[in-house]
Amino acid sequence: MASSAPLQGLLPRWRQRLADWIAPGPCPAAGKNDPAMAGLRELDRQLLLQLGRAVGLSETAALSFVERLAGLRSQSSKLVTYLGHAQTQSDAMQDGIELNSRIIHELSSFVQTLPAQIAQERGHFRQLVGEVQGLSALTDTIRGIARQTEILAINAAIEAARAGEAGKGFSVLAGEVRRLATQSNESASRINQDISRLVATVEQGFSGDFAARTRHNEAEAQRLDRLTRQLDDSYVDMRQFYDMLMTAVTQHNTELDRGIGGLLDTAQYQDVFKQIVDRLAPAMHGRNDVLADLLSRLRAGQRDTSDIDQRAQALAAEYLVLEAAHRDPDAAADAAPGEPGQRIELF
Amino acid sequence: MAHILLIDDDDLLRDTVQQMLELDGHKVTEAASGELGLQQFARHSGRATSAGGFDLVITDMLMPGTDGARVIVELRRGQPDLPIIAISGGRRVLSAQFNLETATLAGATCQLAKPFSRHDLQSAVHKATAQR
Amino acid sequence: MKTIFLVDDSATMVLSLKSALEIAGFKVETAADGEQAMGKINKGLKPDLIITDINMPKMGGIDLIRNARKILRFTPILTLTTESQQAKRDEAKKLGATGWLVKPVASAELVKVIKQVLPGA
Repeated sequence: MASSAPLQGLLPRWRQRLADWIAPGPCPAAGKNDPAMAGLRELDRQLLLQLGRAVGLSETAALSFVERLAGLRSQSSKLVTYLGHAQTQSDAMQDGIELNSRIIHELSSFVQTLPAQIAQERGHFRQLVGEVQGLSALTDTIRGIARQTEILAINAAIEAARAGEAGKGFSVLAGEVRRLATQSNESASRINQDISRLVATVEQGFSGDFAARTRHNEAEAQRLDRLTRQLDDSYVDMRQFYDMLMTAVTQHNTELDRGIGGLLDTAQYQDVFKQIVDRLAPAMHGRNDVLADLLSRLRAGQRDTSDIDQRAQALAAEYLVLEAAHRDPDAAADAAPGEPGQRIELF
Repeated sequence: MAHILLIDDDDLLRDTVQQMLELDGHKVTEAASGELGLQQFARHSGRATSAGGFDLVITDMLMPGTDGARVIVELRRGQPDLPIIAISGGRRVLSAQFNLETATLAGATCQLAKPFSRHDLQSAVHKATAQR
Repeated sequence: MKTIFLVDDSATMVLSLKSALEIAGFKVETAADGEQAMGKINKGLKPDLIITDINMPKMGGIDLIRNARKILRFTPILTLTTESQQAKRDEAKKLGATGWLVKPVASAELVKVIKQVLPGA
């Protein structure tokens, strides 16, 4: 049939009419194309847009804040860890310091004994030299006596020869005396030899003892010299340790300080956000005023609302103009220096 | 490939490392102390590699006079994105670990403990320059 | 030590800037709006520099500049504001403002500008 095409849409329409009659559905929205409503809706859209933007800004700022804070926290904990290790290092050095004070003690004790030792050696030496000199003097005396005795004996022999027979006994005696003198000489020689030997022995013994003590002192001095160098080294290390510690900690602190400054700066976003929200209020008041005027006209039965319609339509545009007066905080240095619209401008 | 500043008071180690780096095709400027190293850096700083600037600095930590930590802090101040490798052994009470941790806090990009192999050096150089 | 007079109705703004400026070595006085600010100026406050917001309750930044200039004729005045309206900027300039800064401004940047503007800082 030629009329089957229009018939195709007929059935669902009748079904809908029946359904409506049974249970009426929602009326088509009053004033869908109403100019006032359109205006108000456009304003709502703008308001929600700005609100969304403000919330977005706030979220960005909060995120930025938390991120930076987390960064600072991890930086800070790095320092805590480092200082913990530095403490261990420092404790190791503490043992070194204790060793050092013992070394210093030993050194000072050793040095303190030396003058006494030296004085003692000198005393011994002088004593010995004195004794030896005494013995030498003794043998000289003996020699002297022997020589004198010999002279006497010779004289006696001469006298005896002169005396002839009477002097025979005398010359025997003279001979005896002479023999004694020789013996004395020999004794003196022997004593001298003994003295020499004694001196040699004493010298040997003495120098043996002295040499041993000297060797000991030299060894001690060398040992202590090594320890002194160790002392010096450990102070060099300690100085280097503290130098490096100070450098690292100061550097770290400087960076931390910079980071905290950046953190504080993010607080400025709060102000921007607040101002966006503050500007929503007057726009909404304007909206409500328009609505109130509309209602009162309609209630009064006046149908001509064209002026109010115009106001409603203008609302969104006015709000946009107001918003445009405030710079987007995330827009970097937009204009070049010298051009109007840049972030920092000195007049 | 890269222009590297090498700072170490140990002559033998410095020569060895310089040879290793030059074998890999890098250009090496050396300094025997922290002060000399910083002087060299000041002379070349701010320039692009083609004009003599440095792509990487390798510095020892334990040096007499200006130590490695101070060197690193000064370098960072002059060029914040400069890759820096700190090398250190231990000496008596100052452990290598402490020295290298200090280097990190002062701003070093990578650390290398002595003794290190040629391969270790190559890895560190690669890692440090790749991070730019 | 130089004194900076900070005028803004946002507490967070004042707090964060005050901290940065004090660390930079300045003494900081504050007011929450133009009226409070003029109160302090009339009582004898002589800051070396004024930093003010534009949009504030009671008395805004433009009026503050106008009134303050009657008493402090040579004190540098910087505005720190979200306002980017050319008209407002021109008016501030005409009334004698020294500079126009748009929020947010990094405190390090701000200190740099302050040092530029303050004689002998």
